[in-house]
Amino acid sequence: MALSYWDIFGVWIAAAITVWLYSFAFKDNVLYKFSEHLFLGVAAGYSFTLGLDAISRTGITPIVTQGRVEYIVPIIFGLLFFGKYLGRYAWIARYGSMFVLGVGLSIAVRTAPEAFILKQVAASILPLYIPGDPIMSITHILMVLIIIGGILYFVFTFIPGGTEQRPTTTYKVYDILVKFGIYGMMVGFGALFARTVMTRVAFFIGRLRFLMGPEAIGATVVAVILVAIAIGYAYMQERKGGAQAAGAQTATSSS
Amino acid sequence: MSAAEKIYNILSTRQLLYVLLIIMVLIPLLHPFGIPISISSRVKAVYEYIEKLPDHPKVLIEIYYEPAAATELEPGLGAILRHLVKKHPKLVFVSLIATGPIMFESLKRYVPDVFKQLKYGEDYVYLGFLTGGEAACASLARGIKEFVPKDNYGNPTANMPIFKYADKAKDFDLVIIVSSGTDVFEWYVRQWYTPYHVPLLFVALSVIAPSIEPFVSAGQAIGMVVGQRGAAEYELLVGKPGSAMAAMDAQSFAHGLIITFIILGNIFYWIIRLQKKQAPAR
Amino acid sequence: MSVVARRYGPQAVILIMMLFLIVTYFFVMPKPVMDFESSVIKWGSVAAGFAMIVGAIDILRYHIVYLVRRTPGQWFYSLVLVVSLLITAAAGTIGIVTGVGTTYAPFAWLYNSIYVPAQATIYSILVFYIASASFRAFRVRNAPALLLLITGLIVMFGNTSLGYVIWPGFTPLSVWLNKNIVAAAFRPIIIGAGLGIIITGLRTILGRELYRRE
Repeated sequence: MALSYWDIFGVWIAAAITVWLYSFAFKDNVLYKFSEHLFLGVAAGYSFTLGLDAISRTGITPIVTQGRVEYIVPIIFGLLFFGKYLGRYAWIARYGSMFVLGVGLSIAVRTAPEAFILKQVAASILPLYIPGDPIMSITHILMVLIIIGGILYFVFTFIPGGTEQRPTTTYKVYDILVKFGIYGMMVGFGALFARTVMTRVAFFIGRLRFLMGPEAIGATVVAVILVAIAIGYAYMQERKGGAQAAGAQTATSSS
Repeated sequence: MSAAEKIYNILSTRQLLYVLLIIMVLIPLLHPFGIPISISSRVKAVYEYIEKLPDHPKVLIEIYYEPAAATELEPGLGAILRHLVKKHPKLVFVSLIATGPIMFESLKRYVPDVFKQLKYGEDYVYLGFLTGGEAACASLARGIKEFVPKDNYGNPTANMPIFKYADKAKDFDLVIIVSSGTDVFEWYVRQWYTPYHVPLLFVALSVIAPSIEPFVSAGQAIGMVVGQRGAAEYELLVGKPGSAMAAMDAQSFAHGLIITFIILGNIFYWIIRLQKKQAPAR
Repeated sequence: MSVVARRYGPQAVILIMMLFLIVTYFFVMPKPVMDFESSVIKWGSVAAGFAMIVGAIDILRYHIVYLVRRTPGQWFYSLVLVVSLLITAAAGTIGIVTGVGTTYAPFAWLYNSIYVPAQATIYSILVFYIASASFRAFRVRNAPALLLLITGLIVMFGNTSLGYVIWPGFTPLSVWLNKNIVAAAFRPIIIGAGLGIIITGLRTILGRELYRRE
């Protein structure tokens, strides 16, 4: 399928923005700043549109097409958000935000005890000895120790009687369990780090594929040349600034 | 300055590390090596679960990711859709993130073969982006048609045949949450699994996976397809290797480089540290 | 009166909402009450959309100030932002008004040519910092750090075909670690988050979470 001029122009802009934003990793420059602000502008405009679209489809449509006048309530509460621009009457906006917050928080509070606590605790009650399966038995013992240790570390943050220098039996047990929690978390964070690498590399692969694609490669080369000039210019400005500062310092010290 | 310190300083140059990384990702992209991968028990379990779903399953698919995450999540979702479509499903797509509509159009371009087999309004529908996060998630469970009178393209949902079968939470056989953030998994666990016990399947970014692992482990989700690797495995299972499989070589090279950086960084750190300890004694 | 409207009014709104929505979940209620409860949740979702519009207007106002003041080194970039915001919002609004929605061609061109590549690039730029940090900051100074490194290596090898070539056991080992140990390590965080939600809810109902500085 042949691309229209607008499509080709779009691909060139996309390639240029990609290269220019990457240039920040090497040195901040004017093309980076331009792309960054262009992105922020489009992103804010996009957010505005999508907000409007959702309100129109789920808030205004029921009133207009189904005559459901009760939907005027959320529209009024939503409009109160704009009260924040009214100076001394900015508190009006609080009614809107309290309405939204009230709904969001309530529906989370209703199910959180079951979803986040009861189910999780129930899933932690594991058989510690499984006949004929030593690996699973050890796994379960480790899991239970790590969970108890983690809960002690995060939730029950008091330290029972005794100190590191004069430990009581309770303190020793507490300390050992907390260590299990900490070591368990280290394993968790190790896995998190490894998985972060995969995600970031995947994002990078996505962009490189686009830049190396047949439609974008020409734009990529031009954008790289332009950004090299911009980075060179930024270095020159920095040196000039440095030299001027050094000159001014010499002048001050000689006077 | 010792030789170790000199080498360490050279290798510490940020720009050098960056250029090395670009080269290591570019080489396998330009010249794929086709290094094999194994299929994990995890992805296989998800595949078997979908295989066992009844014919015409009703599935809600939450598209909750941004353009950056498409490289990791789109192949996984694409492979699952290729698998699901064989069962003639009823698919309701929705987004609780503003970038959803962009990503849905991108998904249609990514798996055109799947969407060719489905009729809009009858077999699938896209509800578009809905505001309110968890409140929208809870409202969907109570009746989609009533909550969203118009779909993403402005079509009225009232007369769409798909909603005869898939309207309320209890109608659905599965919810697939494809997300680049943790919050939406929590919303669906709280608003779809906890009150209605609808089975959830997580398709998550690699970096998100550890944080949602407890939900899978507690049985609040039937399984998880994680990142590009999980997607590549699913592509192999459905017999259509795609972009995730093609990225595996580049992933291997980049991971190899980062592992080398970590090991070298530590070797030089300890050499320099030991040299400094010995220095006053001399 | 002013204090009532400014402070107690919003407090009353959230208190009533929370009590109503919590009571209706835990107790069996007549159908009209349950229908009203469903409506209230939907209303919350609709009203939240206005926050997105307010957010965009806030960014616009913030940069218009730079533009009006002609702040050196910033006004030109603010001009770029303001113009691109207004063009995108205008294109999007035309799409909505004409009934095409977010697929309106000029709007789609803007997000496909600018928003998509820029967002994807900004997130992917972190790969450079991870590479740099892995050489310069990932130090094994003690036992927990060693454990972190070993797990990291196992999961990294398990994630890639490289690990499969070295030792096919990396993938099952990585799956075992993630399914059991990582799940156990993150479970207290989930339980903590659950407690956090409940406590925030209680504090809000009791009026201890809001406007403490007033």
